[in-house]
Amino acid sequence: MHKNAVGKLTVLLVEERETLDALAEKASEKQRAVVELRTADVERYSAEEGSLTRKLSALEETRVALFHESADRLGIEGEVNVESIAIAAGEPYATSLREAKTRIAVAAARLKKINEINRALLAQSLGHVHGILGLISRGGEEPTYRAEGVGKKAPTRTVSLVIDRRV
Amino acid sequence: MVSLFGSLNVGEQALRASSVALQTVGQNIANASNETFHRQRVFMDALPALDKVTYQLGSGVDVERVERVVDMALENLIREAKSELGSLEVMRDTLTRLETVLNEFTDSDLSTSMADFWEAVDDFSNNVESSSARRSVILAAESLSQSFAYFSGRILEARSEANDYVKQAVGDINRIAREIADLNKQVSLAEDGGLQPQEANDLRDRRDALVEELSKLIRVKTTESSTGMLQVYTGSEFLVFDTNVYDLTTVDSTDDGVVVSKVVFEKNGMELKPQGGELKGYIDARDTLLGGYSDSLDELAGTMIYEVNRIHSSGRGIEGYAEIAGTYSVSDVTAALNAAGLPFDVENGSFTVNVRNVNTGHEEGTPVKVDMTGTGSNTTLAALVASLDGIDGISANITGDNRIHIQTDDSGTEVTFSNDTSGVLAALGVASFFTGSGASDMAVSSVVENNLNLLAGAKSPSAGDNSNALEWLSLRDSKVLSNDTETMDDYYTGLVGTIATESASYQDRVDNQTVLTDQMVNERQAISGVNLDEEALNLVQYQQAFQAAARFLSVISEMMDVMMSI
Repeated sequence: MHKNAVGKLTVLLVEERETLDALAEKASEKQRAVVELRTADVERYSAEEGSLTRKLSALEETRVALFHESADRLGIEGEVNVESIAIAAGEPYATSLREAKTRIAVAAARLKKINEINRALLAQSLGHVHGILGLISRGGEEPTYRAEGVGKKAPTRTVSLVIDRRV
Repeated sequence: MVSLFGSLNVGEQALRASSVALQTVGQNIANASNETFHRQRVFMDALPALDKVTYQLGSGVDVERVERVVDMALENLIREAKSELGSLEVMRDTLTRLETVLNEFTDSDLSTSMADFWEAVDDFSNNVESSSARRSVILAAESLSQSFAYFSGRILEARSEANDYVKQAVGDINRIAREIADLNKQVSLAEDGGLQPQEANDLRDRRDALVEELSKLIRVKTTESSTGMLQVYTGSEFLVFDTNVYDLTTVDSTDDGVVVSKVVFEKNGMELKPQGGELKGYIDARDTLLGGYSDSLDELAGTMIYEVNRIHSSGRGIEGYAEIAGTYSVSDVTAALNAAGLPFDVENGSFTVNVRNVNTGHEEGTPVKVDMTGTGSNTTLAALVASLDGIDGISANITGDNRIHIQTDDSGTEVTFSNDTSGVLAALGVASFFTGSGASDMAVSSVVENNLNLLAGAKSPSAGDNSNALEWLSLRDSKVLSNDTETMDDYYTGLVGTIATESASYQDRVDNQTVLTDQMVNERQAISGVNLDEEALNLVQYQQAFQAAARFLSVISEMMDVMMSI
């Protein structure tokens, strides 16, 4: 029976790797859309990224369950990971499991790099956007109401009165 | 596996490209109110893939170039339109000013002065012996002369000012041409002599703005060399070639007492005849428009002087002349009178010299022939003086400044003239009423002004003879101008009407050209201008998209840490 759990784990790891690659592709496309200021595409890729992230999260939960199931069946004590399962399961599972783990590590590292670039890119882009928005809004303008509800002071009048309201 | 160097490289390029794209947005917004600024847009270029394992991850994009959004064909049309507008506006303004100067429909206008003059002559013809009627004619004629001189002076002033503007425009053109040449150098350096795909947008914007400013002054065309330098030429002559400037300068001469500056190229002295722009407007206003109206005013004044003098010199006043000198001098006393530089023509004909004994009333008339047939020996001043000197009772000679001088031989005689069919007396200014030859120097003869009895209202010595005054008055309705098709009043009315019509016409043309130019400028604004509302909306969209894009970054990072340690 343990073979069934290990086989499932091998298939799951392949699916995780494929999802990671898909996520990396989306992150890469999103990066390009951010640079080219294609807002609709940025939003679309972000949504797709969200779906893939959720899928990856679900796969992770399944993997954790399969880890525990495999450990129980293979009698693994202590830390449970792909390497400990591979050692316990032996060949032919060990090679497949180790290969899947390596590929996942590569895909995860790639995605992490792209993610770091996107983080820096978005931080910089938002900084620019805020700067430009400040350029076109009136500089130094106070909000109409502060968070504590205190109204702002009326600005100093620089033009002469046309209508005398005291009349 | 993606190398660390590759990832960093992609990240750097992405950050740089994003920065350029957003800085370009910022620059567009910052220049929204800059009329000469052309909106810029970023062109991205896909980079070659860094690895080709499963996906082409990390290929990314980089900025290929930031390009101005500019329609050069439209820019050229705007330049042409502004050249035309500049020229038309100058002509319109000149005509408006001329209308103001002529000041029609007021008591001080020229037509009122002319009407007053004819009214005084009419009164004189009815009261030919009256000294007050004589005085009125003198006063009205003086007023008329002053009006002519005033209007002539204002036109000369306007011509002089137009000439000042010509000189100023030449200075401005040279200055702008130098700035364009300097920018040519900068553009070429910035673009590496045309080898860089990226154009020097801001330098080009400044250069285009200068070409547009130049076009307002003078119609120019441009071509761009492969090195990014702009060649600016007018007609077939270059003003700017690469970094070389071909300066314009002015050469002064005088026309009707006004300094007229001819625009020439400094390098070879070749005259520049602008095809458009304010410079053309000022030159046309100075030479054609104002020069033309000045000539017309002179034509009217000259005709008035000549025709009145022709009648006056053949008439006689209450008394005749004891001594008389012509007011016009000849350039050569031995030249035929119609080729001796007199302001008025002399025709073939004759006149009669009347020498009268004031004590006895006896008068002797001697005809004098003026030969202007063009064959044989035509009459010269010297010959005419010799003929007159041969008449009993008078002597004639030529003054030091080549004018005719006649005087009676004894104090009991006086001389008058009659039946001058040649016009020689009026041409020489003998027994004339007006002096001068045009609007600027027209005046009443001081001889007549100082002795009202010399005002010639009669043709005979008979008391009450007003035949000459009537002939003088008939001049009012005589068609003596425009090939004998118009009276002097008609001519003046036509002149004023032409100015009003031309003024209205130029106003219409300016209006139409302004609409046309504005349309093109608006079209340019739609293409090259910056819409702040649109840009602000875009910015808000960027903000929302970027915030949404940042949402899963932390989650993914945490997940990747876990996945790398499974």
